[in-house]
Amino acid sequence: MATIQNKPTPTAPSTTTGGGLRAMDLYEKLEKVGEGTYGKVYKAREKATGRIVALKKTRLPEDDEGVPPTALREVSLLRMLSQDPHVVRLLDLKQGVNKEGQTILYLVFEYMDTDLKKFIRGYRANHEKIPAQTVKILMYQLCKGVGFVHGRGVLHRDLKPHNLLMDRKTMALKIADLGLSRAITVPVKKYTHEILTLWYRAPEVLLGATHYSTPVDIWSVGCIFAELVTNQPLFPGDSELQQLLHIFKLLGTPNEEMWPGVGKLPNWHVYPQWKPTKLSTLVPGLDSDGYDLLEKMLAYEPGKRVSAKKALEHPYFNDVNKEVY
Amino acid sequence: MAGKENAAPVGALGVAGPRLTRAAAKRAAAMAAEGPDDAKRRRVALGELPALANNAALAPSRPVKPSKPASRPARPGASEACGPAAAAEAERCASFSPPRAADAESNSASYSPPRTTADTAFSAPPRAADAESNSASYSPPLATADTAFSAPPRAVAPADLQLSGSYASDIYTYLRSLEVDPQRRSRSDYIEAVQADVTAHMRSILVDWLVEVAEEYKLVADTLYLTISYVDRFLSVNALGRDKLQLLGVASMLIAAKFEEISPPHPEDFCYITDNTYTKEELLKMESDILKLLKFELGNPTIKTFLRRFIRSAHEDKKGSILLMEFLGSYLAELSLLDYGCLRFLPSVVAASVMFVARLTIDPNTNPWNTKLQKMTGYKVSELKDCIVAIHDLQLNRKCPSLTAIRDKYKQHKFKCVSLILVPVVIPTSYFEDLAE
Repeated sequence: MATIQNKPTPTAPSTTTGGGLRAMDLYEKLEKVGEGTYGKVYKAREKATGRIVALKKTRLPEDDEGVPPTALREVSLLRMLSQDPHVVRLLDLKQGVNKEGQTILYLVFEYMDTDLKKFIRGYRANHEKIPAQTVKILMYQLCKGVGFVHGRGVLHRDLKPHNLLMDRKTMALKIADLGLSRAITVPVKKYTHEILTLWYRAPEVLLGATHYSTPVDIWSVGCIFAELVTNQPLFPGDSELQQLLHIFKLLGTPNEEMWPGVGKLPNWHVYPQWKPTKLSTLVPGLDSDGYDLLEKMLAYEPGKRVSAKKALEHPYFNDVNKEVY
Repeated sequence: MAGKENAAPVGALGVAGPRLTRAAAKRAAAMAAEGPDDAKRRRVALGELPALANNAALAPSRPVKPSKPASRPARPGASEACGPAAAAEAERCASFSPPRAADAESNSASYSPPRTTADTAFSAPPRAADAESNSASYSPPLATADTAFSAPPRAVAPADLQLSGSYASDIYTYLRSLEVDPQRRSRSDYIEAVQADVTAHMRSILVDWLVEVAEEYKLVADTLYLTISYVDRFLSVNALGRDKLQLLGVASMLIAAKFEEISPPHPEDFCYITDNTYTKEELLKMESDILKLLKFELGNPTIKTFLRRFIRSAHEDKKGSILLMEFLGSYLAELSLLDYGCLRFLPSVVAASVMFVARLTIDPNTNPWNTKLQKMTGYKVSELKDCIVAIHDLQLNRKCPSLTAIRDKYKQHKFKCVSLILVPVVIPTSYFEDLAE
């Protein structure tokens, strides 16, 4: 597996005009490595420098509407966030026109050789657990990156292992795919419903709240934390209702006492009254500090969920070398 | 310069006539082409808003907008958008009126494309459904009104706000650093320094019209403020002919809507609102040019960004409805957009000055500024004085008196008629003295 050959320079990404063909003349596509929110992602080599990059191409809607909103948001927000070491770096932006005269946008990112989804899957295939210290340094970086993003007033809204890029050699972890992100202002305001990938979706979103905020990303972080420990997704539902039932079955059905206001959320109904299962049963393999942090990340009431900023101060991370990550 | 400006009306008049004729012909053809499916669709849309049926009956002769192609792909959140989109569609059909020859004549004095006038856009009396749906756009989460498109009412957990609070100071500090970033800020002197054809008055007319467009398409306030900031940033770098100024406006609004709205209007909608003065290709080309110039840096803080924070914090020590403060603040902030002279003030300065003038309006006998506001905003009143005077002048109609879209918008009951509130004509000089430490 290829590793990064050159350190990217910290200059701001330039925006250059060129035809679609001309943009592609600058890069040699090596292989398709995935799809982001709105387009295909390729591993590519920059011909002039030999640098390996990730090239993300906008998927053009059939009904031409110009630049897609998801692309506008991702680029705009990356321009605000790319300076953080835990957010994938946007190196360049190429805007051109394809043969049909439609606008095409290429985003040029630093290349990361894997993502957390593949990383976890590799351990699962070998029937091995990820070492506890590895889990800890990955979680530390994730909390640091999310704290930075939230501190800049941005919600990610689609945190999942696939969107967390990794370098196997250095164990560096970076947040990617901000296509569903959006800027928040303070206080919160009404947002789109049904935005997060189902397994990592917070209960308040599933229950139809549209005034959600940073806690929705923390719920996703908690789900990822559990998955790193067990190699299995914690709440793998296959529909919105199943997702909710899955959560309630494992964590207990919420009520007004533990989550004031839950009964007023739009999708609230009468649900079977399940009792909570202990986290140590659901997620075997953590120490007591780890369970304490995980519990705080998976608190039902959004306001009670720990913030990423505060999570970094949790005793669970005391033995992380915080100057390295 | 004077000669050129004098010459423009004649040329514009020559162009406007045929354009209106073609538009009228298109509308007539569209009406003739209407089939039972179109009629059925309109009935369904109108049925969702009973109040609109009355409005339609009152103006039966108004032309109907041609229906859009059916092949449009679904977009994220489309299922939720059905309500507002249907309402917006029904409203366009029911209330939109084409520009009249008289409008074309008056507009041609400044720039050639005909536009919707305030009289046309707001001639119908306010309707309950509108009041509810629009209130939802402006209310803070805790005061969210019921809307025609969502039942039961959406609960907001107060604790959510507290959690944002843990990041609020980080975010505020960051926003203040962003607003002074020269890459993201417009010049305050671009009319003199960069533009040869566009004048401050033309810009004011454009802003006034864009307020109407935002109302027409039910766009959130942030979309309007971002639109104006993109226009100003573009004009800070590129000289533009007056014939392209409106194109810049709608392309900027297309971008802002894509960034900010759950369901942005389509490019065709923006072409339509200009009476098809520009083609979709021209619009998308301008979109591309704007994005290139802005380097895709779209999320800069606006007056509205800061105003929200200030109002929420200030409300805690003020009796009375927070909605009144919200609407009055929004009204004054939108007025400031009309005034090219306000570009010399940072958005946070404008927002703080709006707070001052709004509080003065509500309670003229109390000094609007206090140590809490000073601490929260980071401004002493002496630092705000010039901006306060500018906003006060706008409120008193001393500036831009003929541009009435914003005043008319905020005459409506759904905004608590805040533009009709009596304003103290003189601000006591003692109010401009810095507070004792």
